[in-house]
Amino acid sequence: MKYLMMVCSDGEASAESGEVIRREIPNWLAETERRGVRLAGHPLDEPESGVAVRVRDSETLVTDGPFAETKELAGFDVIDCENLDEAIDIAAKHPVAWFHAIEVRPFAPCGAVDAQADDLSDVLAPVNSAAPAGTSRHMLLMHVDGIPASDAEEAAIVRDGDSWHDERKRTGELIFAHALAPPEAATTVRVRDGETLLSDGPFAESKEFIAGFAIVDVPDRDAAISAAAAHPLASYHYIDVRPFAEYPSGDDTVGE
Amino acid sequence: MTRSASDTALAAAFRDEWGRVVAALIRRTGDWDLAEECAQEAFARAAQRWPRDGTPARPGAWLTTVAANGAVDRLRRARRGAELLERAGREPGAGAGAAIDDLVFGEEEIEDDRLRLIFTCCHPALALEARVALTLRTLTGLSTADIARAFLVSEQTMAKRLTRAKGKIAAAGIPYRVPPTAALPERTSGVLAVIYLLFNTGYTPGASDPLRPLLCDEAIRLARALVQLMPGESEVEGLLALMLLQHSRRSARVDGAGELVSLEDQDRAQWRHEEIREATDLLEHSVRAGRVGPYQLQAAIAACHAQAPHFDLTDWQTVAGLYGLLEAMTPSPVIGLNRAVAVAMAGDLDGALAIVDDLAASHALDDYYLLEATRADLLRRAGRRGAASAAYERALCLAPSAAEQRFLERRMSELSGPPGVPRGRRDESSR
Repeated sequence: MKYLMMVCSDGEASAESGEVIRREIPNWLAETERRGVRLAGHPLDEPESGVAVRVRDSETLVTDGPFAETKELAGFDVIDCENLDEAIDIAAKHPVAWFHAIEVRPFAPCGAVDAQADDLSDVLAPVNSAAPAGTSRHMLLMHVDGIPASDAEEAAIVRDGDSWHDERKRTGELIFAHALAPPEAATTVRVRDGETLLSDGPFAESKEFIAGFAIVDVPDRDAAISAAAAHPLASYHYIDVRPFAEYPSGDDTVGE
Repeated sequence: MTRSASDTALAAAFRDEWGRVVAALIRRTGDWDLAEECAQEAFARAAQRWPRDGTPARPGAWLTTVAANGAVDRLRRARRGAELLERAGREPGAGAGAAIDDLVFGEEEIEDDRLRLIFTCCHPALALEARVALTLRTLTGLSTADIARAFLVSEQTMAKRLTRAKGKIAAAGIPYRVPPTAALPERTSGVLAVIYLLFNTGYTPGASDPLRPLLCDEAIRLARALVQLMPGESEVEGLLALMLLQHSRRSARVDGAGELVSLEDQDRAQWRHEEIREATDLLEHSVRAGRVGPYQLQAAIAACHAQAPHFDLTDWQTVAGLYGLLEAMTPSPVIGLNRAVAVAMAGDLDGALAIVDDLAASHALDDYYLLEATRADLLRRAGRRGAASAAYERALCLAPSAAEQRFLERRMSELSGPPGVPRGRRDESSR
């Protein structure tokens, strides 16, 4: 089963914790490499650099970050595990879980069986290397803010979402997108004093939730905003646009 | 066969077999709702057939087979059947291409399923309240309405809680299995915690609902099953012993008027001595394994009380020592408070008051009425009536239920009497 690990920061980080995290991340990456469970992952830029994109009455509304709901998201990893126990084990070994929290959210079951069965490692491989020259990479987080859309709207989002997906795949702008299982299926993992503490549900308890995500390569931030605005979800809910964090030159390790 | 004999057989089968039938079906189909529905149908079928044809030699096997056949029929009919049939066929152990019609359940296999079900229901990624509800619904077969009543929520709320938990098991990929060895000790203690929580919910005083005590029986039955399923796990035996010891006092701990009677004032003739014997045998057996855990220590403390012919003849030194071990193993202010009581009973009032003062200074028990109630008791024994009365007042403000408040008021009224009057006297004369 595939899971999105949302690496979240939980309150104030001490200087010591930052150091431990930086030191331990390579070990975590080596472990996930050895077990062959990590498909892709990347830290995201500071929440302040994110924007929320809505489309209302054909007008694109952009709000600067950070936002209460997402400001905590510091990075993500896609993992492919036997079951939730293994996913929890992987999350608990991540040093961020020792000081902050990691939400483990399963991918939504895919309509098309072949897409689910597919080995996603090839599809996701580009995420692990730098964006091509002249492009910048962004994560789009599809937020549903709790107002239930009508069945007709729901159907429209799915239909138009499919064509949004296909079109951007064709142009090469879209690397990967996937829907997530509902927040009820989430588990938040923290490790304190060597003990793994689980809580049932997402990291941020609120009516709104992240229903899916996409990773795009676009020329600049404005293009990322346009891509988000073109997605049908932006017309009913909103999409959070978060640039990937840049690595210090020469450092090709990923994930935070 | 008479109607009443088959009714008895059916009731016994429901009690003993429900969890097994559901567990076996969940593993085969992966569908919790389907498993429950088919189990229900199998029992309905038994209610028709057994009075006419007689109770089958192996009721569990009969019920599981009927339920499994029902599941096959439903899967065939249902549109989602194709997918699930494929999954059932792929089940490891079923063999490639094994026909689902050919569902033969071995005894051992069914027992393994039940253990899988217990661990899955008690998975730590589920909310604690969901673990408790799911355990009751799927393992003991208590109805959603009854579980809702026992936990004082609406049936709708409880149904939602159960649906959500089952939904998470499927969507999040919670495995249907006994955890691997490395995770087993931690996960086992999680299962024991759920069972003990169930027991304590039933044991809570002041619950007028007759369903509440039923939870104690269910918790004990689950622990018995677990003792069989996990032989050699000494803490499982320890928990069963602990619950049996506490439960053995059920007739004596509440008086005719529904008032709580303290251990000191209980009529020990009303304790169930055969249950105490079973518990102490279990405890002895468990301790022989050489690994002692918190449930065994708590059971050992309860056994000290159970074996004392009179409150004053309790081996308080041993009780205080056991509390000390327990506190070292699982540090908790409540255990510290109990140790203080035992130390006092062993004759060291000053030592006990010092422990209580330390606990109060730590502020860990600021809202806990028993801290002040204990302090009040100790002060009264030390002859410091004024301070005792003030402590009783503070305890009263914090007491959670009417039964506990009345108990404290009785104690307070005794303060005005001559010191040294045995407090049991009033209760004994009123009995």
